Amino acid sequence: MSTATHDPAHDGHTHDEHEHKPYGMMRWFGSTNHKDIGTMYLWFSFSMFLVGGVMALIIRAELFQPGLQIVRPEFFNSMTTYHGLIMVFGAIMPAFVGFANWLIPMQIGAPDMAFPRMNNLSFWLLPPAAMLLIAAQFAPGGCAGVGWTMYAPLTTQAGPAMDLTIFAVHILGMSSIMGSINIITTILNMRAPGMTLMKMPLFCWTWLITAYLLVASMPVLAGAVTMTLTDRHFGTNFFNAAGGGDPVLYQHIFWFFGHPEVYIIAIPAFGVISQVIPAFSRKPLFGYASMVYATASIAILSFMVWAHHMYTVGMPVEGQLFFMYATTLIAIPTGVKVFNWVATMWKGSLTFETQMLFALGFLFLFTLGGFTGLVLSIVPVDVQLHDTYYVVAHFHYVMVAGALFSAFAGIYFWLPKWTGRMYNETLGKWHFWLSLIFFNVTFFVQHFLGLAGMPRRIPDYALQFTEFNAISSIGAFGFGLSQLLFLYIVIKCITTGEKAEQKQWEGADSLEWTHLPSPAPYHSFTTPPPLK
Amino acid sequence: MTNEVNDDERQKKIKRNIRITGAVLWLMAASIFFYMIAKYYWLAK
Repeated sequence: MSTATHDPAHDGHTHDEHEHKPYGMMRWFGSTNHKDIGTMYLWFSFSMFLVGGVMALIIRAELFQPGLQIVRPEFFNSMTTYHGLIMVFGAIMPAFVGFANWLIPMQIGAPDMAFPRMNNLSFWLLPPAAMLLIAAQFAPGGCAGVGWTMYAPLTTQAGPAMDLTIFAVHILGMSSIMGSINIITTILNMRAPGMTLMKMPLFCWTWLITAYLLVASMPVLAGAVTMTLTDRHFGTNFFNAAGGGDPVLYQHIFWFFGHPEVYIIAIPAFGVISQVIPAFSRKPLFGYASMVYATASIAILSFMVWAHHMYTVGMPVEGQLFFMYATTLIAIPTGVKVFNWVATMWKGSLTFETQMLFALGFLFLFTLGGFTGLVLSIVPVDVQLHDTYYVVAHFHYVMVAGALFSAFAGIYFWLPKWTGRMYNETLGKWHFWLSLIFFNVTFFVQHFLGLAGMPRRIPDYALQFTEFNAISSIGAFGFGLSQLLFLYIVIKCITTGEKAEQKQWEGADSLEWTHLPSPAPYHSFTTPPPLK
Repeated sequence: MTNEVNDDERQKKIKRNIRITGAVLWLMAASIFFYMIAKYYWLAK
């Protein structure tokens, strides 16, 4: 394995002397530079966000009115499936891995990631996987409308599109495992002298914990889809009831991965918010140690609650009670985190730049998503709301207002450091307010649809649901268009933005702001920074 | 940790630790994957 450590031969050189870098396509195909790879992750993630977004708009266009108007039901099912898969594995996860690549070496004072070549490979596995997911739409026998959860027996009976999807999930999982191993190894071994674990910025802590979650849970998903593959082609009967297998076993295995996956997405988002809120409150993060312990508690608990996704499969009451209580327990460390963010702002010298607005949007809406999660954790309520639009509303508050808003906050926060240029603050605020309003127009009404009994994953619905669906579809198109504004803001920042200062935000105190110029040099911390 | 950061010994130690950490994590991921499939394969027999 190739490793990157501080090179004594470079002692005494300044950053500027190391700006030599490859040019042309090879810079990107063969890159082992954490900043280049981080940039590629972020652009890949945004492209997938647009692909998944178009799929979401097809879904909402069909649901604008009752009846079947635009797409066939099978295609609708395929859209719900691949919208979920692409957004989770292609957009949100790579976005935060992009943040990790860019920021972790700079925040701990390391020259690069521990395994730079593996870092390159873990990124370049993603485009083929994405192509497989998109190619599955055109597979003979039609696309696989099995849902992003890929439940048996649908998956054991679907056409060749399912094989492409399984292969794509394998590759995505492999990429995630490589990325996680790299992150853990980097953080544990390459911190600058004096940068103890409890002095690290919270973003690094959240990624350290997330990476462990990934290493422990991704192989479980890989196992589940491998068993599906062998059921389909090699005569095994893991999930085939006719052959003595158990389809519910698949659900247990999938959600043993799937619930930690929720936190794999949410915990790095917590890390970003824990950097942004103190910077714009001009105060240190309140309760740093309790934030670390709360994050670790959430991660551990996330492995004990998987069956709350499947209360209705017919498990014993004792099982339901265990998973209900374990799930409600997660509210405690999550509450600690929300309390600490609010306490950080308390009596702070607050300003409301775009990234702080997104962080506050995250705080309000993610907490709302957390509350509806508590509602759903209660067995008798969940039995009523299972597979309704209430669930769709709940997890979009967690995934979009949680993860996506946090990603936006992070991008606006670090864009000056990455590009050396400032974005347009007015347009950024427009992006925030449009996203906030249209997000709520899209998803708040879905709570009411779910409470009224509208099931998810259907292309048609009863007339009584018409108005709320029309409102939700209008919101979705507004939200989608707002993201084109974001693309414009980023491109304008990169091309014509004003020059950013080294410490663009006066409250930011991590190493990338205090020790590195803007834009961050191609090679940074070739010698470890002096730390107190 | 000390601030004597650039001596060869320290570099060697870090490289060795990086390799060990990477190997342990790979082993952990691979064993979870194979344990799971083997477990359900033998259970079904």
